Amino acid sequence: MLPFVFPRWANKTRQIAGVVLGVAPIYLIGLVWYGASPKTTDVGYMPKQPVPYSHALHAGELGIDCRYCHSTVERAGHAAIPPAATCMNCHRFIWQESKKLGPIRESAKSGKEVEWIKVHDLPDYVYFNHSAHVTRGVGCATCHGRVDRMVQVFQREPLSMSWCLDCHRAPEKNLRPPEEVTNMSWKPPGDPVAFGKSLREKNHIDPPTDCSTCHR
Amino acid sequence: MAIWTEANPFLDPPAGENSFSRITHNVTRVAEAEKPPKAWFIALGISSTMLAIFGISIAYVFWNGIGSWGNMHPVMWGFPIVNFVFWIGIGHAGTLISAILFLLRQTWRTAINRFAEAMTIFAVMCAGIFPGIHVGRPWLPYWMFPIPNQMSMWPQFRSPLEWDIFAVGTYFTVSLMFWFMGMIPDLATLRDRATSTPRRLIYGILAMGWRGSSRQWHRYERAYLILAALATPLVLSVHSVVSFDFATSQLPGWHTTIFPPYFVAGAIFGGFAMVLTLAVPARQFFGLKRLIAIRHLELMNKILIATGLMVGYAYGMEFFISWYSGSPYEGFAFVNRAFGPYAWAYWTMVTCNVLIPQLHWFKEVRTNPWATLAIGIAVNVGMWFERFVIICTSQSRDFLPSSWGYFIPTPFDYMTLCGSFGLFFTLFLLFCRYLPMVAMAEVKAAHPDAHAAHAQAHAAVTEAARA
Amino acid sequence: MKSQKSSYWRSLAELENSAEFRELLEREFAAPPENVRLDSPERRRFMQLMGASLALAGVTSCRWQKDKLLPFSQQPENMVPGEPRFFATSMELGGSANGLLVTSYDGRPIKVEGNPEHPSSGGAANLFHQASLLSLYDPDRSESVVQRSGGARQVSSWDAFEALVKERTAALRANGGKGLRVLAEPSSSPSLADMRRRLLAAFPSAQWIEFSTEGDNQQAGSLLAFGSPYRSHPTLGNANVVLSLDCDLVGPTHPFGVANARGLVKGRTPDSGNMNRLYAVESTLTLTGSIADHRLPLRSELVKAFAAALDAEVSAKVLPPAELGPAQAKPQANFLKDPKVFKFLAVLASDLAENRGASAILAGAHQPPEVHALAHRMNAVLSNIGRTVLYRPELNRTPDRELESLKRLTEEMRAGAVDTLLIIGANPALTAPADLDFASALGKVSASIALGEYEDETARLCNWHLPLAHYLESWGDARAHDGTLSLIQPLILPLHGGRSALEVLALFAGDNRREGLDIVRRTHAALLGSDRAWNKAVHDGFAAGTTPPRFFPTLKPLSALQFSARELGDSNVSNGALELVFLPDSKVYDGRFANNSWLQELADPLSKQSWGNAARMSPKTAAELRVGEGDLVQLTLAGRSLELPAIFTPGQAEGTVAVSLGYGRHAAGHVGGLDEAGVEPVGANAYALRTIEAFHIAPSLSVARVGGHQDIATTQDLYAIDPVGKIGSEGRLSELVREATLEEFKKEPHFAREAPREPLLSLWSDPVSYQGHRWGMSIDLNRCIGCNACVVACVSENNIPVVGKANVIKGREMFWLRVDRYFKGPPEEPQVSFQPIPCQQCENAPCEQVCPVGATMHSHEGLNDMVYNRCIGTRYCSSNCPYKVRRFNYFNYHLDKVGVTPFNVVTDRKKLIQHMAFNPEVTVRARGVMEKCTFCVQRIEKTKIKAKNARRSIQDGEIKTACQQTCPTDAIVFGDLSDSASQVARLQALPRAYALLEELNNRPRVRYLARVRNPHPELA
Repeated sequence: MLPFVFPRWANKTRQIAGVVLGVAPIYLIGLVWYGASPKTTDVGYMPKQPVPYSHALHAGELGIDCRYCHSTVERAGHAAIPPAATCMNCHRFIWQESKKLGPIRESAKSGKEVEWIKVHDLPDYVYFNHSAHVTRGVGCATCHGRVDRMVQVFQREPLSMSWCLDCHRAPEKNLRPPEEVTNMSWKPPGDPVAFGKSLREKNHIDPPTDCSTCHR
Repeated sequence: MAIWTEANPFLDPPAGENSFSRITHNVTRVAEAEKPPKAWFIALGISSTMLAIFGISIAYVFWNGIGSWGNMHPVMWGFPIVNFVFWIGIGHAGTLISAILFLLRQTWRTAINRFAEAMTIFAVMCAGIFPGIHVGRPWLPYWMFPIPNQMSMWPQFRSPLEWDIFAVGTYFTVSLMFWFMGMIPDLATLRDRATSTPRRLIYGILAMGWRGSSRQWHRYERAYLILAALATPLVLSVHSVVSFDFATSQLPGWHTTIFPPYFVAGAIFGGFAMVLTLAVPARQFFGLKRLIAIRHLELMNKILIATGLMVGYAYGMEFFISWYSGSPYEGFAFVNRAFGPYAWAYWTMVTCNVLIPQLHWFKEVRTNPWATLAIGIAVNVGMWFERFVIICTSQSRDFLPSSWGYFIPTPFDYMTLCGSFGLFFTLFLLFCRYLPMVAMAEVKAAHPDAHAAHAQAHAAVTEAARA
Repeated sequence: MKSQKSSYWRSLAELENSAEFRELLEREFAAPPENVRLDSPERRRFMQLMGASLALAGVTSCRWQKDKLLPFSQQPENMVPGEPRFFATSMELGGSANGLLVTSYDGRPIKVEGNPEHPSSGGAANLFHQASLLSLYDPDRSESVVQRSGGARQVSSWDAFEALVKERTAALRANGGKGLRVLAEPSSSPSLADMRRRLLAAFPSAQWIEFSTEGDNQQAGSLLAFGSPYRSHPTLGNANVVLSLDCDLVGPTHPFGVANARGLVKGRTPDSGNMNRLYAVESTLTLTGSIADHRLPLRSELVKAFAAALDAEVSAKVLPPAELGPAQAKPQANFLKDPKVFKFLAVLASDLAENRGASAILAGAHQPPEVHALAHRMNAVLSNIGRTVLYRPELNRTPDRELESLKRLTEEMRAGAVDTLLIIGANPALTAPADLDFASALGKVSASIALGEYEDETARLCNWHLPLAHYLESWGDARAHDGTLSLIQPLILPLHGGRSALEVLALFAGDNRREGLDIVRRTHAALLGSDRAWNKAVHDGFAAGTTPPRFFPTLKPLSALQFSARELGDSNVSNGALELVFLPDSKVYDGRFANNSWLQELADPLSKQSWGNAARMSPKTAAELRVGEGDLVQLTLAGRSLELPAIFTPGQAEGTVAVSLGYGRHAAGHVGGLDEAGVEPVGANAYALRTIEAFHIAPSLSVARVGGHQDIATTQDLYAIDPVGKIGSEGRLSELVREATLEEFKKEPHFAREAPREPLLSLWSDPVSYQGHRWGMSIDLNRCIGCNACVVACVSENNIPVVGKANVIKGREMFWLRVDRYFKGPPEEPQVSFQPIPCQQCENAPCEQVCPVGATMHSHEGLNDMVYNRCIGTRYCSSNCPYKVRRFNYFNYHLDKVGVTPFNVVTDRKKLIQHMAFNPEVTVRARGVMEKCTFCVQRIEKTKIKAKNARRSIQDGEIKTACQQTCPTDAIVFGDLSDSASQVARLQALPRAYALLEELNNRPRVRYLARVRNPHPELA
């Protein structure tokens, strides 16, 4: 009986196998690294809000200060979402009839909340504190981007752990004078890093990178 | 015992015009047989049932949380880690036999190295499962691997568990290569003898185009030698590293410098016991008596005595050191082992590992396959209890009396334990059925007929001497 | 403290639109408003979802589900979303109020702490006060008015009840309220007393009956001694010698426990050489007995004779013979001749005499009036009155004895003379003496009304059940131990529409004021008429300067005392004639906390038993009865019997068996036992043995083994442990808990300092270089009284799960902070030591080195940070922790509260209400995760941020860990070690300070201050 012989092309299988085994792990790691990154999954998240509120109009054109609405940002962990009453301060007088403002008027009347969709949503085991950053001179724009140009707010930065750590390890590049934090168009005079360094000295900014800084 | 009286085709003397072809036939007929003996099916039935139990218990534990096992505070590790260390230990004899004995030119190893290696592979597979499933969140152990990620988080390389990952991983890879490579010529034999296309195809692929050319043989020998050289240190390293899990910790009863050699000796001890446990029935069922001769069993039994004594020495030395250390906690840990609530486990261990193997001093015992089998099993039991004693007893009573406790396993602990045996035996039975159980090529090389010319030369020399 | 103004305003606002408020509540369980976001189910659900999803969550912060943000439509003033506020209130227990400061998070009370300015509290709160928070959110609290007719239960409404009251009162007015009876617990509340007056004025022939399980022997004793039921309280800070006559004066069940503990330790500072001496004469081992310098185990029934003998001896020492009355004849009791007792008594008498005006003698609530009278008397003759014991007239209580009036009431009920019975708070169907058979008598009352937080045993036998508002939901007032007026203000609207006792009484009395607030304000119109005064009082939680003036009662000659043979200890105490003592429980009190899982899971400070009670007996007695620990025994007393397991209590008097009350309830709830839900009662109901005669102390008890064994859920080994273990543990105690007598300490102040052996060497270099703060803690074993308050504080602060009896038996309890209890010496007279063990925050931490994924890392301030979301649960850290302070979530213990896991959803609103008790500052751990004490890192971080925002540095003492904050004796001190002026740094520098297991070179950040005992030289 003849011994069994594989076709000639079978000789190639070894080389092919070699290549596959070599490349596959690299590909997989890349896939996880890039594909599963918030850079890919989260950045650009732009949910539809119940009221088409335009930051571009209010913060941008009208130049209303962030803190007019997000009033607690300097005192508290959360930058509070304004109550309908705050909107009505102005909209009692302008655009009273606007259909888009319906939910706001409704809420102001009934006392029932407007259900905004959260855009910048950290994992719940992360304890981020706005006041700790704002009072040190980390600008709103640093994490939220140029909200004053966003008609509809979307997530600008990945907000991933390594992204936080990058700044906590070298805050210079993101520091500004505390009074400038809400200034969207602020530009550092001269070399940003050098300027940041000087601010860091001046305000004794030394962000911790311990686990318990954010996880409790 | 129907399975003995029934006509077992493998019990007839192997056919063939010369000893080589007889060897070939003797081994290959198992893989080529139309149907294996009834005993094989019965065994497979039992083992696969146990395998199913394994699956069920693990599924349940995953679903409800690992509290379904008996693990508690302070005995945080309990059965899963006991089983892990036990199986890793079993997985030692294979590589030892194939690598170290090979380097030492112990030709008798050829009778048993093939399925000792197989046993190693399967044992390490069983072992590898436990660290994965014993963690609180079993869907996450991959965090122990250094994978780049967005948290810029890395494993903690000071942790002995991290060392385990690499030690066991390496050991498994090398053993697997070693086993598979050694099998290639025999697989080729099977391929060439194969009559049906699927067998031809499968064995053909596995044989990786082996033609038996002298060039291939030359390369093969080299590679085999190199692998053996690589594997040899691993035999010592793996269990040493596993022992670090305990030796580097602070727990009285764990914090011991003697652990690495003690664990390695114990592992070889247990590994050989397991080889014997498997070899005796295998040679019986599949008529390999001529290949796995009584002489081989006897040699292994001698190793059993040797390693058994080493283990016994370690037990004694632990006690001495704990007293010598002057630390009341160390001292208590060992007194508690021998006379505390877990004394029953300790004395089971001593009996099985130290006392029973002494029977092998008698030639009648160590040349009797069934006695060998019985003692082999006893040692396996003893070695499992050794790990139980080390882990559970030490954990149950450490420094502060306020947090002492007594560990009581739940049914799921037992299910997982016997389940892991199910996995092991299922794999092993499949191996017996479909792969060459004995390294034909090597046996032939070691066979006297392979050295006929050499023998004549000897004869000539002695003639001359007489004259 | 924020001004109460806002809370007052807030409450009103919610009263106006309580519908909205309900919705807000509902939303707690759907999508939460922004201002409760941190505690939203989302947070919990997230941790739970980790189950399925961490595979991803690990690699990326993936988006789970849309989180909603729901801002208020109108922002309430003074309220910053997500920022806690603090309100002062009070809780009354055992007729005395403790001032509390409650943390409110977006309108939800989440933590109860002591009010630092309050005289009784001084910032401390005992375990009952703190755990009462969980009761507020107890899903088993009754939700609605319930009417029962002929056994048929039907949900009714307040309106329906008001209608009933209308027609009832109409009828009652006609006959002057004949047939109207009110059964209530004695209370110090002025408003309640006022309402009682109004009610009795409206219905002259109605009657008000007071009944409590602790009884009124104290008042009766005062009646004997002074001819009037005065209230008294000790000020132990001024005492050099304190004697407890079977009185657990620092225990949580003592109404003044917190104040007493604070006072007692004032005089126990060996470093300044100032040490008072505490004597305890008691039958069963109590906290007081275990911290005492001298303890004499004596059957409770013998204490009377002992007290009499002591009084005779003391009087003979300090009074002219002429003034010795017949009562000062020394009783002829054999046990007094026992050399040990004789010496003890002699030394004690002289020690008392030498410390005239600086000694205090307290008698236990379960001791007969004579003993109290003798205590009063001795305090008087030793001229302690006004110095160490203060008296004031009784303002509230009805004059007649509780048991008598209750007996009379039951007889009237049987005779059908009672047509309307209003039961306020009390649960007589459970707690009344068994021989009264109150339950059956209830059936004879045409309108029986039970006002209670739960639909309990009593409520189930009444025609009407009214949900009682929790004290955190209602307005009220009470008096502190020293008589200071303390106010109770609500922090949240009644979750289940309950009403306070005041409001219900107002309804009956036809009062024109119906709101609790109005009623309380009216009561104090004279004192706190002006809004300013009122607001201040509410803000402070009490009205300063309302302590009654010092008052010196005059002794009334005591007639000769009668002693039964038993009381003289002549009759033998073999089985059948054993003594049984009923005690309020250290965890469920009289049973009212039986449905509080925090307290049930808590381990009794001495027996270390959780989830249940047992027959406590000394090992010797047990041996005579041939009873092993955990064996089921049957206690038989006058034909009534009870089955429960036996547990050994070293130091218990021979022949005494003690059981704690409040267990074995069938209608407590899903935690404490609920028949219709198939929830087995926890423990055994000792009330079943209690009769009018044998209300506190019962003779002629017989104990029989019934065969069978019960696993006792203890968090430490039982007393009866194998010999190897016993030797092994006793051998190391002297190293673990270091102690000395005052003499030894004076000779060798550094006795505790040095490690018994050379520390090991470490392979690793320091993980971090410490700059800035170095957090550390010192625990003074000399101050710790083992009261468990710190444990509950920790549980409440850190969202620690309760695992239940089965898992405690397995040894899986989760409490981060444990108080270890050790016995030294002979079982007859053991020395007891307590040792609180939090995470020691080692600088060279064994746990950190072995975690394969770096889930526990060292912070630059020296904390062992535990990162739950990184932990995969190898449990290696715990294996390697020599202090065994790490706790592991073997299951999803929070499942019932949190409700969501990958494979199980709990939507029951009643269950979900529990998670309102969570502290939003702390992650709720999912299954399979290791957890441990973090030195309350959330508090540290909060304060750090606050200080940095204000560009200032953190003051010493500004950060208090939960355990430290609540400790009545300030045994725990936390602070910054790098500030050499900080209190903790100074304490750790004391010669008494030592590190636990120092030889392991873990370099713990916790230091223990060795205990110093102060035995009398002649007894030492």
